Amino acid sequence: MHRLILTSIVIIYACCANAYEIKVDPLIKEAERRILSEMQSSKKTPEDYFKTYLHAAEEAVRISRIQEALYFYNQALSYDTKSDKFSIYSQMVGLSLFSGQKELGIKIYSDYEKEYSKKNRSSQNQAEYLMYKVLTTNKLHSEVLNKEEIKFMMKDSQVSKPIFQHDIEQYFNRSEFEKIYALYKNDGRAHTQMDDQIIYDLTSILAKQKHQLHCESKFREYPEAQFSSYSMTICGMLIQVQNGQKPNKQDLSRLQNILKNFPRKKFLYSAAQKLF
Amino acid sequence: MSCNDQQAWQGVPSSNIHSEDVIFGTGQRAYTQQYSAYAEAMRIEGLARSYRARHGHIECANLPVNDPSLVALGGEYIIRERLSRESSGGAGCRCIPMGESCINGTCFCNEICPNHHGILRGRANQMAPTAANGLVFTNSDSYNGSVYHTYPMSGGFCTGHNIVTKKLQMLSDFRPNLQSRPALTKGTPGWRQYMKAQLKRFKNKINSEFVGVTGFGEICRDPELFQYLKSDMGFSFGGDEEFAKTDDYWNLPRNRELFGLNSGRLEFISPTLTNIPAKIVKDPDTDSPLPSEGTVEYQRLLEEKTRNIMHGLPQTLPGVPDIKTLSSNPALAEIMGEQIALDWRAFNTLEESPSGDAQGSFLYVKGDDEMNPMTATQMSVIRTQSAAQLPRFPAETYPRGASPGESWNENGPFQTMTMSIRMPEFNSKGGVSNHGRHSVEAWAQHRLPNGNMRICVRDPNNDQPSATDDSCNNYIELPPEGSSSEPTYSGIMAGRRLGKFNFNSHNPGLIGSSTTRIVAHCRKVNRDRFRGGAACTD
Repeated sequence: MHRLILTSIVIIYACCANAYEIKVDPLIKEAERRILSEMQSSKKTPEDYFKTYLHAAEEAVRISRIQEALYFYNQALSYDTKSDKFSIYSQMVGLSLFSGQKELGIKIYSDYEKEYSKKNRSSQNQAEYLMYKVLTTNKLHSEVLNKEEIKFMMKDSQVSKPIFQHDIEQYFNRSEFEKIYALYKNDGRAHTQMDDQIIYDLTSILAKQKHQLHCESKFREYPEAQFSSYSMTICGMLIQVQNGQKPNKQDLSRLQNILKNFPRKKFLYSAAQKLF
Repeated sequence: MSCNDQQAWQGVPSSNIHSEDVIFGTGQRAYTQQYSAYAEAMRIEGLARSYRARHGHIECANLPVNDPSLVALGGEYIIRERLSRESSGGAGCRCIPMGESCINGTCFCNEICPNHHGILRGRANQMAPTAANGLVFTNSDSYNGSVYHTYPMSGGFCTGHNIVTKKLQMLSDFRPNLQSRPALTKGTPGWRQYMKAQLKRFKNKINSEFVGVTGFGEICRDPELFQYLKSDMGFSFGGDEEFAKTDDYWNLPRNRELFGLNSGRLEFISPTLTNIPAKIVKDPDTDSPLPSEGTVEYQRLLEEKTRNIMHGLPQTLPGVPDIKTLSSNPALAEIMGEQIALDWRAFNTLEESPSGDAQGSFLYVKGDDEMNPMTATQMSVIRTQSAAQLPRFPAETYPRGASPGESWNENGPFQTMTMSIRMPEFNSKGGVSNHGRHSVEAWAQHRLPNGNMRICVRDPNNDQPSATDDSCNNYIELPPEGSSSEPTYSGIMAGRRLGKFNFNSHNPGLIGSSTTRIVAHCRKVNRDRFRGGAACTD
């Protein structure tokens, strides 16, 4: 009996060559093996395996296990079913970018694009497609899309939001701090919350603008948070700079560590490097 | 015992998703046993990872259930639960004994059915739409995007904001007065650190325990603490700074009133001692000694607990009174902000689920018709649903200023119902130029004398969450039946024409797994009491 199950697992794995290399903890693979062997013993179809992996991926997303979700989606893709795979690729591109795995996102994007072109898509799909086209580059959105495309994409507020974040990252990468500073300065609402405050404070220092640090009062109120908060770590460095001191290199290396938990904020590290 | 043996019962009430379908009539879904097994594997792997990070190695002892007798108890529960379901034709659930600290005012064997989510009643006071029960930051100023805004279309992660708020409401067990104190010597840096933490508690209106001093006058005579009070805590003494260093100043009736000294939140312990003995309490979640507030270790503990809540695990939060205070801490707010973005993403996964088993769309726009005003029939449906699902405001079912728990919405496991709103912008030719989509939490129905119905909502984009959410300041107003008027929205983007809006069924994964985990959590933190079984009459 055991031999039969083992053989079945081998057969299943043989059929399921993965499209992308996505690593997960061995504990997950152990659960997967157990489930696959149970399914094999009850003669499930490829469609059943496909669905089971999709359920698992959706559950993983729901509990914020992005890496596992990518793994399960990837496993689902390896089954030959008639289902439209477009929305799976869409999820995978989005999740890769969200989890800071841009290289993976770019790889998946090429398959996503192929699936996208296979049939007419809704206007929301079109807006998302344009968004991913921008997000998988290191260019400003205005350098990737034409005017008509931009107009169409910006119709969707939820698509336009990540685009602006992407553009701000590009400005940081290009050391065009004045542009970010101007954007923030012109937006009266932009510095009432810490996440905006820290970008405004950081760019003001980098753009050599005189400016009362917004983050300082929070820094004083929660001194212990500077050891784990990216905004408080940056704030500590900015206070030093404003006091005419050099920022502490240990703070910079701590910032790098903290940002491992915040993949979408990694651009702050390279920006903070420029304080030295 | 191996980890696998323990897993056997950890996911016991996993039928909650099925029961969600039954309760909300969303139809049978193809959720399978395999699906739950994956979820469990991921949960356990997450816990193992967390344990490994803390202790450098992994062992079974960290898993939620590490006591063999508890495993046996779990096994017993499985049998009882199964027998009960079978005896009632397969549906329904078996109630399990629970500790009273999870449900205020109930005895051990009160009925708390995982599948009917009754345990969430224990969180009713955390779910009422008050400022204390909400995040201190709003969606519109985005802790979650670091972007400037496509004004007036601000925000963008409203659903993520709502989901994170709900997780905190459901899964947090706030214990503001649970705190440890190390052995202290008056006048040392360690003593000052402790005293600063107590001053912060005092400012945040949490019971505070000062040690080695007779009163605030003596605290102010310590230059470092006085400076802390003024510059970091923002206390102002005007021209009375020297006077503030005497107890006479703090005993003046107007100052007692001004600084809230009459509220009974203050204790001066061992006022004459120089060496103050330690008071160590344990973290109910881990049985480890709690670090003292104001230390980096305490901050790290709160971060770990916040992450756990974000990942769907109930946690005891020592020293913290409510969600508003928790989210004021910048490191914790960053964790929540990241999760808001992820949950927004997760939510969108559900909108257009590749598996086809999503719970329907919250915000997904299926076409421009979504942006057209509601038809009379559609509004009639909303009126009926509101009447059935929301408590009345202001009325006996939602007494303003009532004691916690009295505002419980009897018609649902949550105090609020998620509602999606479409708010289009029209171009000069009358076409839709912008797809405005928003998600709010409806919490009451308000019948007006003119026949209109207001649906009171909590809006994550509200610029002033500390204002008057519990006064129905944000609302959708529906005209009376038969009227040709259009509904309006008072909240953000007020004045814009309303497109379609509707209630959404609760996210079954969120509510189901949360219920399951609260049960497991209560079982664990109260194991000593409920294993005794003295009060058990079931």
